[in-house]
Amino acid sequence: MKRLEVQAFGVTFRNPILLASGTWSPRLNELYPLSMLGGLVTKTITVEPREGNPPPRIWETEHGVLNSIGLENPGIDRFIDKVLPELEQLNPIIIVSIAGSKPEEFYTLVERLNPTNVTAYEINVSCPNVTRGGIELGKDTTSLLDIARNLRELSHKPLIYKLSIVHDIDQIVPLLTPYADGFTLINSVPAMAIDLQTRRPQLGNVTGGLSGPSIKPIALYAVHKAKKLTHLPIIGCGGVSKLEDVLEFITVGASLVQVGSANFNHPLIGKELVEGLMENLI
Amino acid sequence: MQYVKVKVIKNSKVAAQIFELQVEVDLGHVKPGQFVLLYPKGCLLPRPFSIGDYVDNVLTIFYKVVGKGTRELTKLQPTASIYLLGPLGNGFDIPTHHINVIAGGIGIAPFFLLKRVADDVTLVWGVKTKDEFFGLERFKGWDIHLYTEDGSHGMQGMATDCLNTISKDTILACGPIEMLNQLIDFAISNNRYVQVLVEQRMGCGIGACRGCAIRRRAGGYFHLCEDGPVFDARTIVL
Repeated sequence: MKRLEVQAFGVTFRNPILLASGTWSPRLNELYPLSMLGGLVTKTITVEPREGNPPPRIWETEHGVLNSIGLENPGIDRFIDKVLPELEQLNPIIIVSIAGSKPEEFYTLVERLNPTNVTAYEINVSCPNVTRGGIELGKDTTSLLDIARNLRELSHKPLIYKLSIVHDIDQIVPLLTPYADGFTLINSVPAMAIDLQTRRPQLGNVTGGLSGPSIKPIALYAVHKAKKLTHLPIIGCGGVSKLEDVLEFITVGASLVQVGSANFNHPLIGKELVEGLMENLI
Repeated sequence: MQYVKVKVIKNSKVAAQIFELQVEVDLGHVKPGQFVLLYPKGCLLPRPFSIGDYVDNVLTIFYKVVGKGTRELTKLQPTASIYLLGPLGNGFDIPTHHINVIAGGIGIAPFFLLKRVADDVTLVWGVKTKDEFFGLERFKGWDIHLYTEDGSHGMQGMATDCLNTISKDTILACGPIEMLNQLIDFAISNNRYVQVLVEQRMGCGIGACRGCAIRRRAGGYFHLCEDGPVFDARTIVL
């Protein structure tokens, strides 16, 4: 078992398989013990509750899943009081995904979460489905750098920045490296789909984020590129749905991987990837 | 809730574009109105289906062929297998007194299981044309009123035409969005308890992705997999 252990951001992960933000719920623990995974990344939390985007919110494309959820979440108060105690029972490694529409919201979130037992923060500056604080924040390097500097001061826990392929990776990764502990690459890719019968978008929010097998080559490219720009550990994310995908991400330099929409297609995927690694690598 | 590979017993066409799929599975206790997810080959998202009937570890699902997922399901031969997650959702709140059921088209699907637990039922079922009726013999003993839009069988019109004359008892309903919207208007203007089973695209089925949102009349959203698929018609906007 120890051979699967990964040391990253000063944390020991029992294996490199994490479940990505917004793709699992505690109910998955009814199907297999989530404690066997390397860790869990929560649905993105904001300071105030968010009700999310108008439906329809999800659509299957030919080789991917298109979504526009809009960061629906119960807000930090309810998260700490009601959600987190349940999550802590599931796996010792809980990475909390956080987002804000202004810099102060990131600071508030980190200050509120610092006294809890969560393992690390995944700073979501790459959500394609919100108008403020999402993917645009990652493009505004001045604000982003300011946030990163302040979070470095405030945070008692590792800071992992989740980036998008539409960000300028060449610029942003070296810029954030002095203030970060790692990166997650990539968030879902901005995309849309059309219903030809109605000539309307398939999503209520018009555009969304594409995930699944169609974005894996893009995610591999992003990890490969980022690896050359930073010494920090990278979490590969995007289209992981089988053992070979995990190995491909590790080959291009990822320390850990996140499994996302594959959880919808086969809820046991996390368990099977861990078992697959154990059978093949031990 | 369980996630299991189940064996197909039967998968045959029972009406125009409508198939009856039977699989072998021990789901434990199920309620009319609950649903399962099926994972068709080649699809990235599972597809939700009302539990049609369930007896002696045989689950029956009635599905209408509408897209990629249901087209894939029609290819399943007996002895083939498919993954299933369920049972999911809340199901109907079934009163002990007389019940009115209003079904539109394939919206009849969840009521075959109701037949096993309720006898005193008035069923109003509307379809476009008579080729879309199926399984009528299974409702023997209920007070049945059939409507076709083209008048090819029963009364000409829509299932919701019955709303002027229907008794004051609880209404359970499932059908296309236009029909459900009429029932929502009816429930609000008459302040009646109408339980509607709603369809929505779904990602995970277990409250993770927040994909299956429907509008809550009081603001915000319900989620079909956690709060539904059955709702008090007065509380939602479709």
